[in-house]
Amino acid sequence: MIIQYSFFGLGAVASGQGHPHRAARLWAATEVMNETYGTTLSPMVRALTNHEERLSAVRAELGEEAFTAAWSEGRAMPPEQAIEYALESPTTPRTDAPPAYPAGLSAREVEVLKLVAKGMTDPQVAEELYISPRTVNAHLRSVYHKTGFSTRAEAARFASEHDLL
Amino acid sequence: MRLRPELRDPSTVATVLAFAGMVTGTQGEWNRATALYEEGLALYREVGEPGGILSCLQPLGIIALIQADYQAAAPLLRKACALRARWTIR
Repeated sequence: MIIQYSFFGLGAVASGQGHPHRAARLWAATEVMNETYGTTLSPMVRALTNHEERLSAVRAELGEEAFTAAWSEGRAMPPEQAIEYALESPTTPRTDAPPAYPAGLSAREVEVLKLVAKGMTDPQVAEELYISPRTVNAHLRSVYHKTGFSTRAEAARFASEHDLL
Repeated sequence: MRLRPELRDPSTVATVLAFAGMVTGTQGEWNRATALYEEGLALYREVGEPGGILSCLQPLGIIALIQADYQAAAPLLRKACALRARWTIR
C-alpha cells in the first residue's frame, strides 16, 4: 500500500491553512508517487475535497512562476525527503520564508532540540514528531555539529539561552 | 455487526470493519464511516498490523479533510506518512 492519499490530503490541509507553496510541493510529490506506482487518485476523493478549486486557488495565489517553481521542487524531492517534508508541521502561516535560527539550525533541528531540552529520549522525540529514532539521532548529531556541543545538557542550555524553548 | 465465530479473530474483524468503513464512506455517511474505521484501527493496533493501521489512518484523514476539519486531518495523515517511513509497505 502506498500513501499518495496522505500526501494529497496534507497538500489540501496546507492549502486550507494558508500554505500554498507547501500545498503545491505536496501535490507535485503525489503526482510523482502516482506515476511511479501507476496509481491514480479516486475522482470521488478529488471531487469531495474540492481539489480542482483548491489547485486553482493555490496557482492564483502564488502566480504562475512561483507555482511552477514550487511544483518542480515537489517533483524533484526523493521519496525519503518528500516524506520528511510531509511530516513537517508548518507553524508560520502564509509564508514559506524560513526563520533564521541560531548556529544555522534548521526548523526540524530546532523542533528536535526543543523536545530534547524537555528531557525527552530519542524514541520519545521520534514518537512526538512521527519520525524514526534514527532520524532523531541524525538531527541531534547535526545540532551538536552546528553548535559545537556534544551533550544533551549543553544543547538544552543552548536552546534555553537562545529562547528556543 | 455479527460475524461467524470462526471469523472473530481481531485481524479479520478489523479487516471487515475497514471494508465496511470504505463502503459506508462511499455512501457519504462520514460519521458512521469514521466510527467503523476507528474501531478497525483500534483492533489493527491491538494485533500490530502496520498495513492495516495505515489502511484506516489514511481514510480517516481524508474523511476529516472532506469535512474541512484540518486540525483532525493533519495528524492522521502525518501518522500515516510516518508509519510508511518506518515500515516499507507496498
